[in-house]
Amino acid sequence: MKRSLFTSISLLLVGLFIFATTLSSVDSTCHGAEKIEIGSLMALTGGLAPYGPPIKDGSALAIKHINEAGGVLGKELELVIKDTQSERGPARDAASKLVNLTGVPAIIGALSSGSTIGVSTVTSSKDVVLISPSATSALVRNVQDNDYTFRTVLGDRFQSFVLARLAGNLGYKNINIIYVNNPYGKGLATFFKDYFEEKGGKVNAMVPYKVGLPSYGGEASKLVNPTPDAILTIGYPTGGNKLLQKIIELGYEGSYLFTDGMKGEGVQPGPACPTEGKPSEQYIEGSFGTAPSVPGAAESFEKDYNAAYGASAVPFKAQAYDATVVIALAMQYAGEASGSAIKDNLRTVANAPGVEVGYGELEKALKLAKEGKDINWQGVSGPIEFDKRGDVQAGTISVWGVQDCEVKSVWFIPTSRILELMKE
Amino acid sequence: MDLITGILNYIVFFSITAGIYAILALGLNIQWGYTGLFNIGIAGFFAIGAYTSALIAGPPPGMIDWRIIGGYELPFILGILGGAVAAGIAAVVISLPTLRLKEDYLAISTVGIAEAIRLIAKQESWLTNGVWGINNIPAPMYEPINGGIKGFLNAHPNLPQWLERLIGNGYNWFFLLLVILFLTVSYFAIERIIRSPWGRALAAIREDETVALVSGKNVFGFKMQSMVLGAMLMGAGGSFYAHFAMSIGPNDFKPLLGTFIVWVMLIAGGSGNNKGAILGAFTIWGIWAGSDFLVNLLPISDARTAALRVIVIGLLLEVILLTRPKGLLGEEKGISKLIEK
Repeated sequence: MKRSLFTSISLLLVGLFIFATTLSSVDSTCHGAEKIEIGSLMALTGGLAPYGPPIKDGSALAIKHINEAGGVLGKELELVIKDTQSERGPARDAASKLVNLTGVPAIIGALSSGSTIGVSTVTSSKDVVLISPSATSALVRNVQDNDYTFRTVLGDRFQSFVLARLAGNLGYKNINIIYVNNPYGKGLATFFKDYFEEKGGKVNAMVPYKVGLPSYGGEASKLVNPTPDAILTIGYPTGGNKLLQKIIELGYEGSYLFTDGMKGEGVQPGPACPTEGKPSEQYIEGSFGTAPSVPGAAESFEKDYNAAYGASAVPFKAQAYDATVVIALAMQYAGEASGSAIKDNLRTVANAPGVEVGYGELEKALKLAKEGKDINWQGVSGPIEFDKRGDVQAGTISVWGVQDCEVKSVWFIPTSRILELMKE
Repeated sequence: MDLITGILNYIVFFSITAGIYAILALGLNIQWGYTGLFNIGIAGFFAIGAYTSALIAGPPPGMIDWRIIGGYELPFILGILGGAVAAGIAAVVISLPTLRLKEDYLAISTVGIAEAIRLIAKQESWLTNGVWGINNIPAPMYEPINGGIKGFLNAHPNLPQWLERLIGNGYNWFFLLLVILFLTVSYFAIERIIRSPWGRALAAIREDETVALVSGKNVFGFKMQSMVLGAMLMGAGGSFYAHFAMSIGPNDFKPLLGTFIVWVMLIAGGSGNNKGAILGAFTIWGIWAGSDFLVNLLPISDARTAALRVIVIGLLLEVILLTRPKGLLGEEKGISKLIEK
């Protein structure tokens, strides 16, 4: 009796698993005839949950535009989205599902550098292209990936350099850094310290913080005593907000500096104005930050994005858009929707030389690709030039500020200029 | 056919992950199932095994790798051995002060130690490369096997796609074989020793420590041996993990996916039963991974299904624990299967 009950339960579970697996795959293969599926590995739950949905929508917008322009290889594209739970283990499992069950030739993701590296061992061994729109750590560059891992976001050091020079120009001499203790945070913090101290600045405290703690009293007190000229906050709104509140509670009234992670409407207190009170009562009013982004094309992209999905200040949406577009162009150019074909042709459609096409010219771009002409995709997030390790080397770092309770981009510095300054 | 190959390939990947968890669950079964040691520091031993193996068999420090030791690129087998031994030594060190504590206090101290180990891995860059972790860890025999497969596929370009994908997955089959081999050997070894006088002494300690002490058993010594043996298995599990994921970092050893999920696996499968530990690992990881498909059937947006999935996982675990409080298999009798309980 007992045994039969157990057998039935375990059979039920195994059956359910296989049934669901089959169903989901059948579901996707049914459309297979007229659709090409692209994977999207996004953090929809967990620590990076505020980032996943808007970045995913960046890809979704690209898919929409590509399909409006006639699709790829005569078929429509479709985005298959999987959640990474912001953890490496589940991210690898999700990647394996996309690679084996859905059979995608390319995946856009993952968000964090750690997950991207973890996933790349799953994808590159199966000849699946992985393009991360947001993994900024220098670590990603050194991963053995048979050239199957790319990214459309600029590495850490550019942002750190601009941030360090910005701090110098604002007249800050003493800066305390609080950073999220992961490859992203520690990378930016380390590079910033090097660049800032090179020009005579002084970093007095480098305080790591952990995501998900109930309170950051200890970290905050290390930042405000003695009071610095500015506090550089490298992190995400989850946790980062609590830190800011604690710092303010301790009576700190000085300036802040931020990185891309803290650029977003989720940052409290601010940037949105309170219903009562003046903007000046907003503690982060007048603060500056940096993010990898671009002028020009980005504006019409933002407009279209906002119309389709609602406004969001989360960065990397444009990088996700570009990642999706170059995958589509590479498939169209190769005449084949396979991972190895995409890998071989990504540089042909993205890098110079070639006919320059940009945002809003997808129809033209796809037509040129079909004719087998070299294309030089000028993306929304930058000119998109992949080097031999699959990193973009050209782009723009923007300086943004909180003005009148809104996040506004103030300056744009191209990487070519940054490289010149670095040499000096 | 394409579909079946895909499912098969995914099941292989799934089984490797579940199999590694099963190794951890077997280790925990020795400690908790047979001896009653409330160890909630599994992630600590798991991490020590993974890092040791990565240092022994992994690549030397390179760019963006600020370790100053390790990276001897020795064979995988030495990695496992090293991982298991290091975890065993750690268990001795940890056990000396903590094993004299009663159940709940042992639990509190072990969970603390596991977190301490993870934070050490996060901070001590000279040893572990800090938050960046150790990357490009070689998988055992990867080059010869994968090279052979690639060569075969290049020589036979006209194979149907499903067959090509099946053969292309060859390396994962090999790794699964390694995991199963290790699991089988551990399973029979534990089954054997648990039925020996040594195993009966453990059971006596679990049931009533005082009685075991009065019978002249060295309770502390037995507990220590059980702790060390379990920890060594966990360390070996960590080694398998490091070489399968090819990249490890401190965040891989957080309590949820490093410790508590293993406990759920053992409890759900049947504590005190090795078959239960293995079954539990596959069932619970099946729920974790399979819940994805279940919620995807619902016609709601992706961000919501992802959040719902976490709820579904919790719900299914509750169902198992409520309907099978002693686990799917329950405890196996140690003395004679002929005697009705």
